Amino acid sequence: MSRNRSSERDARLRDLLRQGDPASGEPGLSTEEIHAMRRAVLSAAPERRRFGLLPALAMGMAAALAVLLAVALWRGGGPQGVQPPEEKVATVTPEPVRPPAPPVAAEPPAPETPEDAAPPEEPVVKEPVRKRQAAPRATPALVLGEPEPPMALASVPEPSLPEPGLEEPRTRHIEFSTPGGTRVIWVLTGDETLLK
Amino acid sequence: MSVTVENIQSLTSTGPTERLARLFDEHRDRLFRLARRLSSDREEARDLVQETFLRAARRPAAVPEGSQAGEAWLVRTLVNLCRDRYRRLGVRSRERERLVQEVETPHPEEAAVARAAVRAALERLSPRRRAVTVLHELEGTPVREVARLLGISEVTVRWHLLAARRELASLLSVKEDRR
Repeated sequence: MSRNRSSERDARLRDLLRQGDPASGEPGLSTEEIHAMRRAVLSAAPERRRFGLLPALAMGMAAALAVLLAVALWRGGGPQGVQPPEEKVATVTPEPVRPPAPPVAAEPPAPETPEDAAPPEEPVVKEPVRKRQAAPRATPALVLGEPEPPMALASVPEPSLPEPGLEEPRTRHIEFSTPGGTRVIWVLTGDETLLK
Repeated sequence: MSVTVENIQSLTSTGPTERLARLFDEHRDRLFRLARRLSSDREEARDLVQETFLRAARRPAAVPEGSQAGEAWLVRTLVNLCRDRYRRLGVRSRERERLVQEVETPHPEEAAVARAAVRAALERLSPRRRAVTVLHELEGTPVREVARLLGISEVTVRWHLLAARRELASLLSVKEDRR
């Protein structure tokens, strides 16, 4: 009985509320109000999207840089990193292996050069060095068992190698004659010693 | 929801601004109706809706993902704003006095009188109880949905409804008797 009465009261109350609904019969937001409100709301929103990627990008780049640095240090600090200086040593070691100096060969007649002694020095210095390096050039890699040294090969110009059967003279005689009648004779041996 | 250029733009992009625009387009009318029932006049309702969306704009991370969760967040924010305003301005006593006086004066239109009586009675309720009553009694929202929207349990919703009915019945019957 009381339940029926309370349900009747609730229904009547609901009718009263709906009859006096403050929003009934009133128009909603007008178009101008909507646009103005939308503009105000959206202009208050922070634009994080454009700058949101920057920290992530910076972190990623920093991480990549750190990884690259670590790899570079790991590879450079290992036992293989000492190789370049050893290559230089390997090119120098064959120097003691030197063929014995042959006897002094007959000297071809030197051309007359009226100038001073300075210009002819260039071929004198270069030729014995070239000959000396031509013979033992292949030995360092064989002896040490290391990979071929590319820098040593690239730096030396390719000499005109003599034929294997012909023995090339190991000494050079260079004569200079001055206008006053003085003659200078240089005898160059294979070990770069000036005999006379 | 009508298909407009703004709606299409908001659906195709996913930034915070676009998400906010989508929320605004989906829920502005519903929030305005609720605000109109919770507030005393149209201007106040418009201010409440705008303030609700401004809060969402200032703290986009606080608004949960999804349309339903976003709607619930907006409704809760609106009710909280009503409560803040209710406490700050002391609307309760002023509005009651003004509206009771308005109801007591003879009015030619019966509907307007009834509306004023209901509004005065709703003003007597606390904001949360008023929100529960408006959502359930005026908008026809089920109890479970009211609980989800306001973030409270169904038992609490039923308790608020029971108390509100009792209070409203008392207030409105007195008014009817006086008429």
